[in-house]
Amino acid sequence: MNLRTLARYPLLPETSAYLKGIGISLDSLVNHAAYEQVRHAGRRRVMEALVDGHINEYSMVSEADLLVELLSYVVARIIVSCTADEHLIQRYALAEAITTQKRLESEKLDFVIEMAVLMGMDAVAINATETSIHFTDYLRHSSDMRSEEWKLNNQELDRGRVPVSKDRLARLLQHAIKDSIEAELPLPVNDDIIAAFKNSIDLVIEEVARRKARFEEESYGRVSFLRLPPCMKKLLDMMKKGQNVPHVGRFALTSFLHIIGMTNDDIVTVFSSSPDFKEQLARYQIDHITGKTSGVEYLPPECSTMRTHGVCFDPDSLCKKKWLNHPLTYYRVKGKKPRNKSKAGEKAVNKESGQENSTSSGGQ
Amino acid sequence: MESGKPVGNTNPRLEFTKAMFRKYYSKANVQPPGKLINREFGVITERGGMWRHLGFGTPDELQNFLKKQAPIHAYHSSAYYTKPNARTMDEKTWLGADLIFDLDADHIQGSENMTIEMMFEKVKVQFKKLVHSYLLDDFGFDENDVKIVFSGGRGYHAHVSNEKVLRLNSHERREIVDYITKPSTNIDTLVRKVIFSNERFKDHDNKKYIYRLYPRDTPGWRGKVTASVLDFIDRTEKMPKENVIDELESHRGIGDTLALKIYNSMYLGKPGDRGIDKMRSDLNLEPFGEDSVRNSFINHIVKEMTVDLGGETDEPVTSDIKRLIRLPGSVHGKTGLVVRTMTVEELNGFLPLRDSVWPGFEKSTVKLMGLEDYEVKLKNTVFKVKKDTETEVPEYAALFLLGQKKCDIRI
Repeated sequence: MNLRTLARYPLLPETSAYLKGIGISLDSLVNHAAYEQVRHAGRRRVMEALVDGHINEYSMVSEADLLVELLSYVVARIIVSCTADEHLIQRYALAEAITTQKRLESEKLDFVIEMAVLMGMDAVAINATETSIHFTDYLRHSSDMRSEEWKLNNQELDRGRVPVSKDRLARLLQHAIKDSIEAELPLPVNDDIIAAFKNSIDLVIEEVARRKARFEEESYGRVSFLRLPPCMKKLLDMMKKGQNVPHVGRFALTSFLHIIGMTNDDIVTVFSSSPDFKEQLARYQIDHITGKTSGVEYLPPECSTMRTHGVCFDPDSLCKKKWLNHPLTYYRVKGKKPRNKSKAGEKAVNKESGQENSTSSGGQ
Repeated sequence: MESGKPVGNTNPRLEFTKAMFRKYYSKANVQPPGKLINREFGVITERGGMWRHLGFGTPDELQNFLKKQAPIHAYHSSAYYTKPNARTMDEKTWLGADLIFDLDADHIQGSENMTIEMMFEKVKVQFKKLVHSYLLDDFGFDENDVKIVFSGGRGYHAHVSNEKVLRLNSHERREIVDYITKPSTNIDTLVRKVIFSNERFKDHDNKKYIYRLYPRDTPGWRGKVTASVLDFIDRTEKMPKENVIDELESHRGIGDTLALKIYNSMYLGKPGDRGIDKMRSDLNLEPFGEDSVRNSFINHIVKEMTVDLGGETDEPVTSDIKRLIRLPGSVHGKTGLVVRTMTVEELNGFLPLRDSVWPGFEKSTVKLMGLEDYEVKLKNTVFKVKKDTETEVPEYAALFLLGQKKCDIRI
């Protein structure tokens, strides 16, 4: 594969062999003055991923331009690894994946298939314009596509294979690439590397913090029971009446209430109206689910999982919207409608301030 | 006896069952599931309650355990774990899971009014559809990757252990269930839409389409749609009008007006010139006239090709990646029948009540007291039970009648 191809698709496995071949060491990349431009390009790559959600394409005229572009990918991965921030890794991986998908649009089918195979997919050409992939690869990489046209039952499944167009294959590749980068990062980095990239890391971390603050501000606001999706209302109601709530239901409700901002004490209070309430046990489970004791902050299950486990109750018109696939989305969307009517009946559990919900600005 | 606690050695029914299971496990050679060391096992003994988190390093360990405990029900995990005998999921560490399909008589419409033989026959028809039309054809599994098992109870299981499916998560498995149980409702993906004419009219296209069925051997749902329509025609052609209408109306969502419209578009006219003749000869769907009539008919008739995996009411086994499933080679406590593995070919001639009886239960007889009037054919012999009347039957029949609570042991 030539340098131009690698510069456009630096995540190809050939990249590392190429770099070894021309003899660029990690140490020189990190420290040598000659690579200042590369380090700058690497930082730019991370910032573009973070801010714009994709990597821009710059004119690549000379061989040197191509090499800078290729190496900017290597440096970007180092910087991201130095922060070891989950949010940044995800955002960066997605941006690289989206960029690759976009660039693949102008490639020939054979090239896209080759890339799919390199990413571990079982893909073969059927004819000049179509390819087929094994249904397990299709399922794995279409799992975040929720529109009907991607569902397996809308595909012409034949002997385990799903025919897909070039553009669809590129879309599936986006998911595969994102998964693969997320799995690879963070790379191991030592203190010297972290010291060398200090300025870049600070800049990136600052931007990450700014984005997180904005996201939190826009997301959940004050805890409001009026905004609960029907499933959570029902689970809450069942808890209060002392009905037998299956484990997965308790788990869903606890993680949900935690994420929307209830304290563990408040959640214990909610559960305490249940006749079979045992405080110690409840507290133990709640502390585990909310990450206090387990270190893992569990998210409530998405709608399809709720349905699978039979704890999706009385879905309303909002639930049935195509794009609504998570109980938290329901809660967030409900919070975005300006609520000018009387607040009677609204129970604000979190009494930390009298501040109004500031979520009506921004977002869709 | 009735007022005593039904525990342990004081209950002759349990004592007899226990003795039978001991006899079975002392002789039978239970073939362990693949990747034995990664499987969790669970059993229910006569003491009740599920005993889980069991793991065995060798086939002998498993065999010895079964011999010693003689469980009334025995299960293994569809999943593979690093430490199957750990007590929590985190410690177990999930490595993957077979893809399991469970077809139970409970999923068969009207099964409550059927004899057990009829019920088994119906389940088998559905199960064969699942295996051939879906697992082997659409999903393309090799026959060697699909283990077919009679559950010992009311249905069949298929265990798919193809490497490619093992890592599928629950959501992805749910998509497989949806493929089998819920065909697309988008008519354009089910039938062929052909441009019939394209006249340009004052700067815009005026396209006309005609709809045709895809050839019957088209892969996936398209071929199934064609099969369902042609099967319907074959089935209804000789029927009186009222019966055809009745059959159409048996689909929820088809009322009498719509049923009549469908009937008329298919059957009005002289033989050779009727709607069904055009459908048969060139797969033409134009006889339906209105789009809505055609679409309703297609969307309803195609449901006949689905297999009910119980997904609407309870959680389907298939999407559960941590489920325990009956251990092939064990005996089912409620029937005394052996949980049996078979090939696709063997399934054709398989009759559970005849072929899943263990020969070791044929030699001696037991005296039972009837709890209600009941009749069942096991191993080519018909057993009749009368309420409050004593009867003497072979051990296999005793296990079945006791398990089904049709009889009790009187001492």
